[in-house]
Amino acid sequence: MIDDNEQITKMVSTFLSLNNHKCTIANHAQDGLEFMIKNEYDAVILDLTMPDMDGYDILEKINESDIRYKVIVLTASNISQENMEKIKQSETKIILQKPVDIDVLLEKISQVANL
Amino acid sequence: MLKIKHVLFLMFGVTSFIIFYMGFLNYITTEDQTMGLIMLTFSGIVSIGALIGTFYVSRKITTPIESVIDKMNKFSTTTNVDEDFLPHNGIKELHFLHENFKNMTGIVSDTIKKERKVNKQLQDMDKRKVEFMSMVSHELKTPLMPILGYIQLLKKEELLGKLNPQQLDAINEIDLAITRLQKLVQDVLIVQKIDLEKLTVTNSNIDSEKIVNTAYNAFLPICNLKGVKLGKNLDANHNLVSDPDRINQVFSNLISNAIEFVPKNNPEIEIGAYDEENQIVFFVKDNGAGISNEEQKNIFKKFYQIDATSKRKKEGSGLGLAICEGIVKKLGGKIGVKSEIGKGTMFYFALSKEKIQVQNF
Ligand SMILES: Nc1ncnc2c1ncn2[C@@H]1O[C@H](COP(=O)(O)OP(=O)(O)OP(=O)(O)O)[C@@H](O)[C@H]1O
Ligand SMILES: [Mg+2]
Repeated sequence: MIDDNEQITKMVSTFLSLNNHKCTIANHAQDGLEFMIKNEYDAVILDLTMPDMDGYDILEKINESDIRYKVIVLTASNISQENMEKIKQSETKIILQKPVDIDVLLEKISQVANL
Repeated sequence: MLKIKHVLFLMFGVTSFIIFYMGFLNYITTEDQTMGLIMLTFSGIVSIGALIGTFYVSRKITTPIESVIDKMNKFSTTTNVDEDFLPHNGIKELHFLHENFKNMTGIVSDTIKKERKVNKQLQDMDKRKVEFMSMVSHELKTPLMPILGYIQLLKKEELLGKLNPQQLDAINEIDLAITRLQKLVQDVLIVQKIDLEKLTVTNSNIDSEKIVNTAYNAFLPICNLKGVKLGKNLDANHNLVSDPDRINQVFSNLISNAIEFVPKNNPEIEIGAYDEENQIVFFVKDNGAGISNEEQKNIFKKFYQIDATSKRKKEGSGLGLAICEGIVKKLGGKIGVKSEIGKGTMFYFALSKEKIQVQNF
């Protein structure tokens, strides 16, 4: 999960681990990108608005590389028409708006990751 | 249209010709040869002089006028004008014409410059407002996520264990408050969007039956829970091109209101749609206390609630109907209310069956 808000990542990862899922947290986009390159994950939960490097940058970098991920975008921002195009061209499978119901989040993760 | 140059030449040309012709006639008819010759030469010189004079005058008048015309043309297309105007050529009227034109262009281009600046400032302000709105939106929604998440977590017995009754009560109270806050945040943000004309709508082929059924099915459980009789009234199925999610949003707001305002005894709500002159009218009817004519004008205003504390607990914020109106307008339709005190209320919104032109930003 890549999100600069530590309270959100803590809450979601607590919830996921209570449901027997392993969740790696990156509170900086740069770290998240490195994790994505080094390791393998069933799914990536990605925030869009982040300082320095943002979610769109990550999607673009992933697109340019040959690694493929199933991405769930989780954002509190409005997505402009232009940015929506960027997302459509990326690996994003689903877009969820914050605040999302955690049961819905879990259901979508299972769906996207084919768990 | 004639040119000044040509008129001058025509006039003086004819005059010179007549003078010369008279000199010539005089020459061939006169007995006094020498006098005739003198008159002929004289008339020749006069007519040539007149022609040269005409040429000179025409140049002196028409060239500067043509140049002014030229500049005017250029000015009206580009709103720019060269600083270097024609030098003073000694003709008073032309001099004034030039001077006045110069002043006028100066004023006009100053005004245009000012207007552009103001326009730019307005655009910047608009952009800043939108940026501010999306920032506020982001900052308000983000902290809601962990709060709502932890409330849900705490309520899951199987994950975090059973809460004692008082703890559960506390969590439920927090839940209620935060849910209201969440609704308020959503409502305020959508009102902002409507005000900034940033509300987006989609266009798809939909039918009235499906829309009414969706709303009906969504509200049946809560109506059953509250003992409210929910009815459905559809004359036929109608197709229209509009935004189903936005329509559903309006419907939901109206039904939620109705649920809050129905009486304790025999509460009844009826929802439905009918066809009327190229429009589909959706409605929500209740048998509640009704709304006076006076108040009907006010209820669509932002944050307006009818001040009758006896009627219900004040829970909402008075944004619901303002949002409904904003959405319906954006969908190219009309919203209204029919009600009388003590005789229930019917809210309705009419949408055109044909596709409306929506501009999304
Ligand atoms: N069906 C109804 N019967 C009687 N009064 C109504 C009905 N619907 C709305 N009103 C009156 O119109 C007012 C404005 O309604 P509106 O939906 O805008 O706000 P609200 O329901 O009070 O709050 P919110 O919708 O923001 O939660 C209400 O407070 C109520 O006084
Ligand atoms: Mg309301």
